[in-house]
Amino acid sequence: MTSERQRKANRRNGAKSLGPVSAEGKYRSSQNARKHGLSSADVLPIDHSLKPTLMADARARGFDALAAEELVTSILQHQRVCEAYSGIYERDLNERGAPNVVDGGRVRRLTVDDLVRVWELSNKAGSRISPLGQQLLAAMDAGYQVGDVLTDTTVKTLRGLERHLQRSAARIAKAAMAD
Amino acid sequence: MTHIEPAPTLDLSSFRPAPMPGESPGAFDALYSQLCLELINPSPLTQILTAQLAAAIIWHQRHQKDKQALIINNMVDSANEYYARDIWRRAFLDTVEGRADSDTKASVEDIVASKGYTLESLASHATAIAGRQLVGIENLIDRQFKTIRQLQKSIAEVEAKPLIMKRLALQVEQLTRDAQALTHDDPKLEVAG
Repeated sequence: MTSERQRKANRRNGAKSLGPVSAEGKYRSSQNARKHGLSSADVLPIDHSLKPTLMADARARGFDALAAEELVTSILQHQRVCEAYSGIYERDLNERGAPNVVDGGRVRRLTVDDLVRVWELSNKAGSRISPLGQQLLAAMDAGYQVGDVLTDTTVKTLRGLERHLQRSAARIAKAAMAD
Repeated sequence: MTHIEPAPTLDLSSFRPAPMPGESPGAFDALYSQLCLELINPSPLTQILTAQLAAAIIWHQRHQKDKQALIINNMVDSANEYYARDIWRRAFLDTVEGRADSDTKASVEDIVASKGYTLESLASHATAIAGRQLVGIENLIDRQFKTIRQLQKSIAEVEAKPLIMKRLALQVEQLTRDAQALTHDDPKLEVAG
């Protein structure tokens, strides 16, 4: 049986950990179980900026209002899934044993953003590549390649997303074939 | 039906998958431009579908490379070359793809032979070990292929839509003319509309 002293200690210990308190902490922990963010509109919202142009084009091509709406919505939905897919793949790539680089005196891992930056630099004729840029180029030359082995978790998440991709692509095709 | 919007300069930034290490940064844009050349009547709708198709093709190619990388990694591990694994992985990859210089090729073949394999038998062994993970990546390839097919079908349908509508309009016109000719022959018949 639990003694009074133990009960008090349990209450005291329990009060110490009530989970995140700040808004930022609560938001961070709310993202713990997030896999690809497709189910939460605040993380990956559909970009509607192209909708009016696409609707006008669909109507001009002879789609009735309903079919045009379905087609355009499916295309935008598909785009949203594509962006989630890309994000998952990049995150995996950033985590799977990328080489270290020295940046501002601190050692950190090479990321996809770094690689994009280096490509942009190396594409500009006559530009001077910084010491960090040179390290990144050397790291790329050392064999950090597309196709370094994907983790099992990423493959599983991507498979889940591909189901969404296939569904949205099928929806586009169905809407495009509508009479 | 009004006229179709002229092809705008589409902002591809949200469609372009971030270039990955070892890939040409212009691969997506080059593929997209090539696919756009095949469009009969480019417009915002067909261009966006084409951009999505180009992205799906890029992902298909990436997953093919993922599959190959998995096999190469298992080949290197099976040859027990944990030391300088990254360097050996590059050497194995270049040898398998036939672009290794003679020294690299000889070194790889020596290691493979010392373990009692040929390159082919080691590749089969590595494929067998990869098993479940390989099935996962093959599923990704298969599904991207299906997505590509659906997008191709959609582009074809959207491209053909104005022609279908025009043909329908002509058929209606023809039917109306036939009906009018009938009423002209027989004044007792009346045609609505």
